[in-house]
Amino acid sequence: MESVNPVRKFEIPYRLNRFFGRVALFGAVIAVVSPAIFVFFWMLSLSLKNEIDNIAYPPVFIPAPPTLDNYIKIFSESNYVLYAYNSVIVSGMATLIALLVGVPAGYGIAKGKAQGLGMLIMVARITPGLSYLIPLFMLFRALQISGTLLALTISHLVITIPMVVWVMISFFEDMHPELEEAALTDGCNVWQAFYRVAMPIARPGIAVAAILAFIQSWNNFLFGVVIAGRTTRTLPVAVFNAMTFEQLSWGPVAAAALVVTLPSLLLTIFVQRDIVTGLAAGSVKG
Amino acid sequence: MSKKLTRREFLKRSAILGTGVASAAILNACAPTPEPTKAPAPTAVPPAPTTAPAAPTTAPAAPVTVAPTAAPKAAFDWKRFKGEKIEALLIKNTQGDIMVKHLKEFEELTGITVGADQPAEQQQRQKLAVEFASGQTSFDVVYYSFHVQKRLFGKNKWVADVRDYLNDPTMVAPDWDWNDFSAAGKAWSTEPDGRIDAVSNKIDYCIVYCNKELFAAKNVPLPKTYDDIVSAAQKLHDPSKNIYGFVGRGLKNANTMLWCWMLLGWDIDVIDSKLNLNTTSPEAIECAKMYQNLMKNYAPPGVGGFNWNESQSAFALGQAAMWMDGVGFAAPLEDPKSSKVVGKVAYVVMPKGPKAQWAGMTGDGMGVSAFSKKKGPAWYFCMWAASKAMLARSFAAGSGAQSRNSVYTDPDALKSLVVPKEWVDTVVASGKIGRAALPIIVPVTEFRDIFGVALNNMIGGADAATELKKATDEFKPILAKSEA
Repeated sequence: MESVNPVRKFEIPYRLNRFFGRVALFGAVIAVVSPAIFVFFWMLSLSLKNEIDNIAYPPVFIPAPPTLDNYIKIFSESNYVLYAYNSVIVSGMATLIALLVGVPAGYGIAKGKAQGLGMLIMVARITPGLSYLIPLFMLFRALQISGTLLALTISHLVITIPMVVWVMISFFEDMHPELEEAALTDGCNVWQAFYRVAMPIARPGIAVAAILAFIQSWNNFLFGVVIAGRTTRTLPVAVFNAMTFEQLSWGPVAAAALVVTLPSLLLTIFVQRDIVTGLAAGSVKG
Repeated sequence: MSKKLTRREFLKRSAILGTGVASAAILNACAPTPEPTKAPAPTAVPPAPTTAPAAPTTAPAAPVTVAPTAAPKAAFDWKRFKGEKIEALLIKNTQGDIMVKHLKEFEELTGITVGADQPAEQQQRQKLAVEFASGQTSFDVVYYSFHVQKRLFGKNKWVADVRDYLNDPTMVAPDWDWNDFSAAGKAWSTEPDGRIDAVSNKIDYCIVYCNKELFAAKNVPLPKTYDDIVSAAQKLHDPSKNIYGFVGRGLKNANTMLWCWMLLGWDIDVIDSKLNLNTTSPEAIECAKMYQNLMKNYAPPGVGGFNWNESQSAFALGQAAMWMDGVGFAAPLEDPKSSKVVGKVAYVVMPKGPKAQWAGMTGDGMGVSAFSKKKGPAWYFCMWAASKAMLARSFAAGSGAQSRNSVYTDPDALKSLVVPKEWVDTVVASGKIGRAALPIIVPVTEFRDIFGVALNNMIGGADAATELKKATDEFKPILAKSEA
C-alpha cells in the first residue's frame, strides 16, 4: 500500500498560500497608504528641486541633481530655530497646563456624572477658533501681553483643555468604581483616591490625551497668525512666510512644510502604539 | 437668621462677579475710537484738496493737490524722532522685501528703530481685520491693498489722515515731492471726503502676457482687441502638443478679478459709484460668456483650480499662448531659474474691448494706524518707503508699476532693470488707461467669493446669465447691509 504523507502534501500549498497572502496584504497596504505617502514624497521632491523642475510637465519626480537651495533659502531668510523653539514652548506649556487642569476636571465630570459640563466643554472645542480671537486679542492687549509666548500659550488652552478633558472623561467613566471605593474605605480622601488610585490607572489615557493635545496645538495656525508677534511666531505660521506674491515658490514652501511637519510626524510614528492602545482602551469612544 | 456662605457658594458668586467685570471691560473696549491724527507741531492749516478726490471706481481721479511745502529745508529733520521704536506690518512681496533689505538705511537716517514683519498676504489681512476691529493695533505702520481694504479702512477710519503731515514743512522731506505721485496713485490714497489715508506705493495694471514664439509659429498677430484674444486663443490652442490658447485665474475668488478686468472693455464698472450692481447687465453677461469661452475651451485642464501661481506656471513652461493678469510678473518670467519663456514674452497693453480700452488696476500703499501712539515716526517710515529712491528700487526689480512718475525716467533704475524695456513701455501705456477694476466696497471678499463661484461654475458649463443672476441675488443684501 502506497503511503501518503499528508503533512508534506499540504506544506507547499500552505507556504504558497502564505506567500500570496503576504503579497496581497503588502499590495493592499501600499494601495491604502500610497496617497498619504505620495504627499510626503512629492513634498520632499519639490523641496529638492529648483522652480523650473517643480513646474515642469510631465512632472519631474526624482530630482536630478537634487538641490538644497530651498532649505538654505528658508533657513537664511527666516529664523526657523526660533520658531521651532516657540512652537515647543507654546505647545508644551499648553499641553502641560491642560493636563494639570483637564485630568482632574475629566475625573470630576466622570465621577459626578456631569454630562452637561462635558457637553459644555465639547461646545468650546467645536466653536470656531475665530470666535475667540477678538476677545482674546483685546484681553491680551489690555494685559499688555499681546504678541508674547504667554498670550499664545493661553490661547492654545482653548484647543488643549477640551481635548484633554474629553479624552479623560471617557477613561475615568470606564474605570471600575470599586478601586476608588476601596481607597476611600482605607482612609483616602477624594483627592488622594484620585491622585493615588485613579491617576496611575489612567496613565495610558493621560498619555493619549497629552499626545493628541500636543499635536493639535502644534498644528494650530489661526492663533499664531493673529496673536503671535514677529519673534513669537510658531512654525505653522512661518511656513506661509515662504510664499511671496508674484513669485513661484513651491520649493521653499515644500521645504518649510517638511520642516514643520517632521516633529509632529516623528512624534506620531514613535507613539502611535500608545495612541492606538489608548484609543482602543476606550478613551475616545463615540 | 443669616444664611452661612458656603465655600462653593462663594466661588460661584466670585466667578459671576469676575465674569461680569471682565465682560464690562471687554464691551467698553469694543468701541474703537482712534485718536485724531495730529502732527507733533502743525504749522499750517491743512487745505482741503482742490479737486474732487473721488474713489477711483471709474477713470483715475484728477490729481489731489496739496499745497507745496514752503521753505522746508530749514525745518525738516530726519532725526526728529531719534530713539523711537515702531512696528511695521508689511507683506511678503517684492516691496516688503526691498523695504526690509534697506531697513538699516532708514534706521541710520532717522535713528528710529523699526520692527518689520512680513506675513503672507492672506495672513496679514486676517491679522489686520482682528487688530483693527479690536481698536488696538500692535503695529504703527501698515501696508495694505487699496482694491481690497480701502473702503473698509476708510469707513472705519482705521488709518490716520496724513494731510496734516503733508502740509507741514517740518514733517515732509524737502525732496519728497507729493506732486511726483501719479494721478492714479493719489486717487488710491484719497478717501471720498478728501482725507488722505495712505501713501500709494504700487499700482498694478492688467496686461496680457503673450508667448511671442507661439504667436510667430502660426503667424498670429498680437491681440489689439478682445476679438483678437479669442481668435488668437482659438488658432494657437493645440492640446495634442500640450499648448493651450489662454490661461488665467479660474479659482473661486481669484477669478472674479479676471472677469472685472475684462468687464472694463464694455466701459462699465461692476458696481457703480451709487452702489448699483451692474452684474446682470447685458455687458456683464457678455463678458462672462467671453470668460467662459476662453477658460472652458482654450485653457489647460483643471483651470478651474488655477490662481495666479498655477497660471504663471503654465505660461512660464511655454504651455499657454496668452495669460491675462497683473503687470508684476515680468521678473520671474524673465528669470531662467523659474521660466522657460525667457526673452519670448510680449507684454501687451490690455486690448480694446467692445466699447472701450481700459487697463484694470489695483493698488497697494502704506498708512499709519489710527491707533498708533507713534504716528510721527510711523509717518516718517511711510515717507521713506515711498521715497523716489525706494520706489525706483522696486521698479528696477520689475515689481509692478510704481506710483511715482519720476521712477520711469530714473537713469539708475532703468540701468539696473531686470526686465525688458518693452515691459516699461507697457506699464507706462497702461498708466494712461488705468481704471479701478474692483468695486470700492467693504465686502470685497464676499463679492469675490460669491461671483467667483458663479464664474467657476461657468467654466464647468453653467449658463452665464443664470449664474450671474443667482450671485447677484445673493450678494445684493450683503452689500446693502455693509453700507447701512
